[in-house]
Order: sequence, then C-alpha cells, then structure tokens
Amino acid sequence: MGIEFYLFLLINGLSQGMVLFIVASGLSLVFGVLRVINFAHGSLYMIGAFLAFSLSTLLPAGSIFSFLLLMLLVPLAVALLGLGLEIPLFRRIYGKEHLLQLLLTYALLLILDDACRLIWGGDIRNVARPDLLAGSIKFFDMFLPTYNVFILVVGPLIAVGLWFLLYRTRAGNLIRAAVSHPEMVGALGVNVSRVMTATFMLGCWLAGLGGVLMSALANIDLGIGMEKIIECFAVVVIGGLGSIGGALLGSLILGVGVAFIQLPLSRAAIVFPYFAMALILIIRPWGLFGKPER
Amino acid sequence: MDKLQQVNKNWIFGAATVALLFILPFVLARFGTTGEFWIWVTTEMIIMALFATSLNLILGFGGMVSFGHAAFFGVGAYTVALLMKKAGVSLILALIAAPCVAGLTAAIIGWFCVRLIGLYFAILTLAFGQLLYMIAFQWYTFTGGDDGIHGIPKPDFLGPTNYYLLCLVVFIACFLVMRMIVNSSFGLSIRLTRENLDRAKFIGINVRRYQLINFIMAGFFAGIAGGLFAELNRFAQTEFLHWSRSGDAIFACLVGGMYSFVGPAIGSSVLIFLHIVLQQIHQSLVEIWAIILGFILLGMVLFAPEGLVGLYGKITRKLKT
Amino acid sequence: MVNTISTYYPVAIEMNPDILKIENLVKSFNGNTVINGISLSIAQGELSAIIGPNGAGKTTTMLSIMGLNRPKSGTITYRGKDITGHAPFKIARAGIGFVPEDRRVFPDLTVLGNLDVGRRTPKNKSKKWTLERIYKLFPRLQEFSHRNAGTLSGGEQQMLTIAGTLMGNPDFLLLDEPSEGLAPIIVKVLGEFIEVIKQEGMTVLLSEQNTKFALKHADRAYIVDNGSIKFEGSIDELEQNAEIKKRYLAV
Repeated sequence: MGIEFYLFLLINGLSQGMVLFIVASGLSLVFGVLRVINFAHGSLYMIGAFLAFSLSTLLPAGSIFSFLLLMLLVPLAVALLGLGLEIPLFRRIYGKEHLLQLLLTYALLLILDDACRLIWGGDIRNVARPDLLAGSIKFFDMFLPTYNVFILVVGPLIAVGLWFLLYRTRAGNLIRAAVSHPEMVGALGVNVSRVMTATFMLGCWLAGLGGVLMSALANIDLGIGMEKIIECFAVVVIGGLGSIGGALLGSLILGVGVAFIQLPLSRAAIVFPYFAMALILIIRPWGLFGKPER
Repeated sequence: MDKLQQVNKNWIFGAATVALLFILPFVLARFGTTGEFWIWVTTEMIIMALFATSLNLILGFGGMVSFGHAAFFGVGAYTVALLMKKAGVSLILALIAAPCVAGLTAAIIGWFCVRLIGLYFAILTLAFGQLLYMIAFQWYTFTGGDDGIHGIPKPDFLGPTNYYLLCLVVFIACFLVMRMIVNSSFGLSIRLTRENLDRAKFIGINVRRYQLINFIMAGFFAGIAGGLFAELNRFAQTEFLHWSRSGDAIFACLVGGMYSFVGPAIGSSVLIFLHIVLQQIHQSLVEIWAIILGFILLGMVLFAPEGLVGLYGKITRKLKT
Repeated sequence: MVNTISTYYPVAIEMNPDILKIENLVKSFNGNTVINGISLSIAQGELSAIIGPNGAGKTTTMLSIMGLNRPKSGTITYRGKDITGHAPFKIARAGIGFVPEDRRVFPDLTVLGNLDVGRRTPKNKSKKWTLERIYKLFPRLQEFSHRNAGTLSGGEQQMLTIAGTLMGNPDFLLLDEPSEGLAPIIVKVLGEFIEVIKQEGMTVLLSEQNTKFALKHADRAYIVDNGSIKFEGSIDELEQNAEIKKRYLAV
C-alpha cells in the first residue's frame, strides 16, 4: 500500500466531507437566521437523492447533460418543497419555545421519511454516473475516480458561492442582518418574512444538491436521511452552530477522519463522529467557530 | 378549600383507576384468546406509560428535549435479555439490574449532554442514542446484531395475567416515586430551571448537576420499562433502541400533556389504543402509522401544545363559566 | 397607474398639515398599562419632541408607531391612512424611518453593509440620501466603511444607525433617545446633524430625557409622564408655563 492508496483514501474522505458540507451548511444557515434546528433537514436531503434517482430513470443514461439537469432541477424541487413547509408550518413557530420548534420539525421528519418509504420503498438504489465522470483521471502516476474529483470541484464552488452570496450581495447583507436584529431589518423597510422564507429555501436547496451528488457517489436507501442529519449535528457541534466556515471545517474533519479510521478499524469508523463530538464538547463546548451562548 | 377538594378528587380518581386496572385482567381472561391479546396490549400500555412518564421527568418538568430516551429503554431490555439468557440470572434480579445499568449509561451520556442546553442538548441526545443503536447493531457476538436476542426464559408462574399484575405493581410503585420526586424540593428546583434558568442560577441551584441527576433518574426508570418490555416479548432487539421509539415517548408526552404528571401515561395509552384500532380497521393504515403520528404531532404542536390534559382542562373550565 | 401617488398619499395631505396623528393610544404589558391614552398630531416639516423620564412611555409610543408592538386600543394615522398594527416593513415603506434607542447596528456587518441594508428608494421619488451625501455628513463612516459595525464606538454606532435609516429616504423620522449615553461632544455633532435634516424639511419626532437637548432643537414639545401627556404646545408656550417647567423639567 503506497502513497497512491492513501491519496485515494484522502480523495474519498474529502468528497464525502464535501457532500456533508453542502448539506450541513444548509442546516447551519437556516439555524443562523431562523433559530430553528430543522430535524427534517436530513429527510430533505434524502428526498433530493431519491428524486435524482427517479428523474435519472427518465433521462438518457450516461449523458453528462442528464446529470447536470438533475443538479439543476432536483435542488430546485426540494427548495420548492421547503417553500411549501415554511409558509404554513415554520412561520408559526419562530420565536416560540425550543421544545415546540423541535417537536414540529421532528414530526416533519417522521412524515417525510415515511412518505419516502411509501414512494420509493426499501430498496437500495443509486444513480449511474455519467460517462464523462465515470472513469478515472490520471494524476501524476495515480488514477483517481473522476466523480470524486468532480465533487471536489463542486464542493468548493458551492462554498465560494455561499461566501459570495452572504458577504458580497445585498441579499447576503439582509440575511446576516436578520441574524442579529430581525425586527430592525423590518423597521428599515425589508419584508423579513420573505428573507426568512428565502433563507429556508436556500437551506433546502443545499440539502437537495447534497442528495443529488450523493446519489451517484454511494448507494442510497431509507436510512441515509437519518444518517446524514446525525452527521450534520456532529458537524455543527464541532464547527459551531450558524457558522458556515465551521461547517466546512467540521465536514472535512469528519469525512477524512471516517475514511482513514475505516481502514484499520472498520467498525470503529461509525463511532468517530461521536468521538470527535465528545472531544469538542469537553474542550470547547460551543464549537470551533461558534460563539458561546449567554 | 377548592384546592383541597381537587387533591381529594385526584386521589379518589386515581384509586378507582388502580382498582379497575387490577380487576381488568380477570375480566379479560374470560374472553379466551381475544382476552389474552388484550391483556398483552394493556401490559404493553402499562410499560409504555412508565417509559413516557420517565421521559417527562426531563421533557415536561425539566424542559430538556431528549431524542435519545429509547437508549435507556433499550439498555434496560438488553440487560434483562443478556442476564437471563446468557447468565441465567433470575427475573427479579435482572429487573433490578436493568435500571441500574440504564442509569449508569444515562450518567455517562448525560455528563456530555447537560453541558449544553436547549438545542444542543436535543442534538446530542439524538446522536448518542443513535450511537448505542449502531453499537447494538454492529456488535453481533454480544447483542446478536440485527437478529437481537430471542428466547428470554419465562418463569413458570408468569402467565399473562400474573405478568400483567407484576407490571402494574412495578408501574404504580415507580409512578408514586416519580411523583414524589416531581413534588419534592428537587423537583421544584428542576421546574425552576425550565421556567427561569437565570433565576435558578441566581438562587444558587447547581443547574448542571440537578439536570444530570434528573437525566439519570429518567434513564433509570426508562431502564425498568425496557426490562419489563423485554420479558413481555421474550426478546430484545435493536429496534428497542431506535430513535423512533424515543419519538413514541415524546408523542405520548405531547399528546397526553407534558405539563401534567399523568399526561404522558394517558397519551401513551391513547396512542397504543389508536394504533390497534387502526390495525383492526385496515392493515394499510398501520403502514402509514408514522405519517399519521406525524400529523397528529403537527396538529398538537400548532393548536394544542398542552395536550389532552390541557384540552380537558380548557373544556371543563369553559363548561363551568 | 397614474393614480399611484394620490392613492398612496390621499388628498388629506393638502387639507391637513398633520403628517402623523395618534389618537388615544393605549398599550399594556402583562396587565400593566404603559401608555394610557396618548394623542399626538405632528405637522409636516416640524420637529416635535416627546420629553419625559425613563418609563414614561416614550419608547413604547415610538414602537407602536413603527408597528413593532401592537397597541391595545387607539389609532395611528399617517398621511390620512390608518397604519395601526401594520407590519413594520410596510410602515417603513410608507415613509417612516425609525432610529431605535439602543443603537441597533448589525454588529457582524461592515459599515457599508449596514448602510446597504437600509438602502431603499421609494417609488415616485427622487433619491435624496445617497451614499455620497451620507459620507459627506458623517466622514467617519466613510473612513471606517469596511470595518465591522460592532467595532465602532457608541457615538459612531449612533451615527451609523441614523445614517442607515436615512438610506431608506424616509420623509418622517423617529429618533428615540439619540443623545442617551453619548459624550457631550458627540451630542453636539448630533445636534448639528439634526439641524441639517430640519433644513431639508424632514419631519421629526424626537424622544428625549435630555430636556436641554430637546428644547434646543424642537419646534413643539410633548411632556409625558406615567403614560399620558401632561403638556403639549410650542416651545414658546412651554417657556412661559412656569408650573409645568418646575414640575416636569426641573428647571
């Protein structure tokens, strides 16, 4: 096992971490503005993955355009689903007791997960990689799976895009202003409810995009929503709730950590996120990039 | 005076319910296999009522949302299963060990979880609960993995009726002890941490320690429920630890009313009953049980966050005026 | 479409010089009445001051005008249109700008970002307040335009809050205790600024505990105590009323 093998592990871990980042940043963003932890975020990711699967069966296989179309349509569909959830449900619970907020999103998780089971059933599925991304790329003397490299390109693009949106546009200013003083943003003539709805939809869009990317990276089944939401929780505990930079760091730590530990101790790998979380809780309970509350 | 009357009324109502519950299996036993089925169902109701009430120690009274309470239920169940099946320990000893092991687990998990409150607490309990689930799932040689542990021995004297009575007695004992805890000065302090954290800190309550103790006690009683449930089914399986079982207990609290002591027990019984009624109507309704539950929960959160007990109070107050 | 202006600003504008009218406003929190029947009318182009001690109901009145709390009873009319209990953003879009008392800047945004959040050009109107004008008026804000607002001093944050609100080009400005906790020299700058916007023809409602500051700039004064108005009139009238001055202004 030479360096090639370790590089392979690294690429694998990083690409898993990138998908995790895309999903977790959505969770963190929604929390930052709406102050609601959405337990159903993982379910939205799972819906994205299954939608990608269903849609892919209708499109010509192997074509890169089919896959790009999936990446375009599926996140949009999930964002629209988010719109359908935000207006009648989430809007009613902003600013209410944490307990009720958590129970509401938990109820959604149950409904969405079970709806997935009814629609797609318990089979293990995946989306075939388009021909262009199916093979491997020669990198010096090594061959790396093209699709993983593709994710390693998409992930940072999303990170930069998010950063640009949040820090370089008026919409981003509004979103970040709403984090600290939503009522003041309203008093300045901005329809804050709309900012919140848009932020929620963006969070859902990210969950959906993560789902599409995962559907061709690994197998998908009914457990992936729960698995991902728990990974997301580990990410936000490690990185700090509401911090996008923290989400990126946390995701990469988890992705790479799991990939490398899987090798000597395949069973222990599932424990790694918890271990990392416990460690952070002991040394820095509010996360690496977060701020202590009260 | 009004309050005194209310207290008396509660005791009379409670005693009457208990008396009915003691008579119930003897009546049901007259109805052959249908009767036996209903004895089994009511036994499950009693156990789940205990589980839900234990969760409410932290949820309703402590204001801490735990999504990992099934972990302690499951640990209790596996303790009974392993001790009885692999070590040949007697049922009574196993039932004593179950809450102790569950309480110990709660102490370890709780030590991490109570470090953070509110949202983080909910996240962590879910994560740690799921961790135990995965350990049970993977550790095939010890827990039987996916298959679970089947064939827990059953003492000869324990027919359905006797086991029902055993569970009822244990339930009543636990119920009274938990009631005492809630009404003690410790319980009052815990309620204060929910209502006004800053004030609780100000008057010198060591919030973290109180919450940890409360968490351990809740885990302890959940362990008893898990142990009883394992013996009822004569198996323990990973599903007992699953987050959806934690969800069931949360539903029970919300549906019954988490700001009242009896609420969770009522909620849990109502939900189990509803499940069976749906099953009798059509099997397909059971397949969408989670969706039905989800919608009930949504409705309760949005329109009746104080649960059935709260609704009942509202209605009686309206009728009086 | 031709009618937009007249539907938005009804004919009342010519007949009634009062831009804002409050009638019998009552507001209580948890059973305690904070405002008990306040009525005001503010004429276009005037600077009115609500003067009174802490807890008199000044801030509560301002929040009610802005739609940030819901009064128990009473009506608030702006340019002849009932705005009681409307969403804050709609009230802001109708032309009211609000500067809260605790200098509520967005601490994690840059100074420029803060101004950007407030930026809004009302329909059918010229853009009076541009970034250039704001920077001319508050040179420090330009100097610090890329700093996070949270790092500014109290006085600078106060200027930024005002500037952010001006970026929305309001024609009626609510200033809630702007001089509170500011160094005398900054209060002086603030006073100069208030004179500038008065020159512009801006209608202002100023709430103050600092009587001297308020009387120096106001055309008209309302003295409130315990949730109701004890005196209203022009500054000259107030000057002549020895009893009120002695009782409420401790002069």
